[in-house]
Amino acid sequence: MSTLAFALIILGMTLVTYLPRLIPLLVPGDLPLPPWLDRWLKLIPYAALGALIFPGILTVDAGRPWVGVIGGLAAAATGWLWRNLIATVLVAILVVSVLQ
Amino acid sequence: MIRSLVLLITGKMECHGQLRYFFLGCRSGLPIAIGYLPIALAFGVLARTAGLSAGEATAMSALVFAGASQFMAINLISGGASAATIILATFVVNFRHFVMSASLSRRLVLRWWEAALVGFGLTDETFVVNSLARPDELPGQSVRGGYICPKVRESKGDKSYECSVQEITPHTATSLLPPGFALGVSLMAYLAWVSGSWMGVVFAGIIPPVLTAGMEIALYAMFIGLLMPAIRRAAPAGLIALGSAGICWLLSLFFDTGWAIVLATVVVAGIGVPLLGRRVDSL
Repeated sequence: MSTLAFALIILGMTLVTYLPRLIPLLVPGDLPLPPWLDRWLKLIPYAALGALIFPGILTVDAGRPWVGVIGGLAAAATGWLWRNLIATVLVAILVVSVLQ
Repeated sequence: MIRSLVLLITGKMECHGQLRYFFLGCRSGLPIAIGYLPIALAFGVLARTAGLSAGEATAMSALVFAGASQFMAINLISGGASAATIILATFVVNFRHFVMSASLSRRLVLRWWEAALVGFGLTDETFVVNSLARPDELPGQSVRGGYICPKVRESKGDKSYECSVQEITPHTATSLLPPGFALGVSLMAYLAWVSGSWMGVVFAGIIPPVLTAGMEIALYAMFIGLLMPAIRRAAPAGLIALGSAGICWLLSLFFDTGWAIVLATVVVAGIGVPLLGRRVDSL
């Protein structure tokens, strides 16, 4: 692939990624919105979290979905009891690397 | 240098205004950096296998800054796909960030250049960290008289402290985030992603497998680690996440991952609005 073609691809990818990320942020956060819209936007992070965790976590170890499940349960237990994000991540890494 | 790094990590950096929030953001971005590094290394290795130079791979990471779509692009480039195909596929995979940006924008009042940077640094991970951060619970912060203030100055009995953060209205009591915080979170994620990509290309083949063992779980663990305190605080948050996970699993049987995530998010949040009603306001 020529350098020009590659540059074109990167430029296009940058634009179609950046613009959707940027445009909503140009709306100031203190702009009054109808309550239903405000609540919907407020629930987005929790809904996104669920969708980002599952079923993706099953692919942590290709062919052995239970490795991801156990790692996830270890993270959940650590996060629930300890409430320390770095510790949660490290415990899960440890558990999964032992299982592998 | 080392001293400031230690202060940064322990959250004891003493400075005021946006700079302070910036450092707190850097600290909150640290788990993202830990999670990104091995993925970025893997991306660099894949890019090299596909024949990309270190400069090309790093440029892609520095400009696009979107993991899943970059892996996909490399595979499409190897397969000889057209530029239009690659760009369209990137748009589809990354479109979920539009929804996330809309949600995050409710927490931020930004100048144009701040919006430009926060938007550039918005990924699944930075979005979630920023969305679940509570300004009143950041280390050393407190809410006083409708403003978020550094505790450092308050404890010195200085009644005239300047609060550089926005006034808190009832609707934003726990939600408005200092822009500097969001910038710090994104910067950590960005540095890990770009430097990791470069290292992946340059050091492909000599990266010891022990370095990446078990690391695939890191970002999932971070998501879970963010979710747990949110559920402890308000059970409906867990209900929404659980429902969304189930719907996303169902949808992933029929759609690509990108679509499954954005559809599950939008639909379940939509169901949650009438289901939870006013309880959403206190989340």
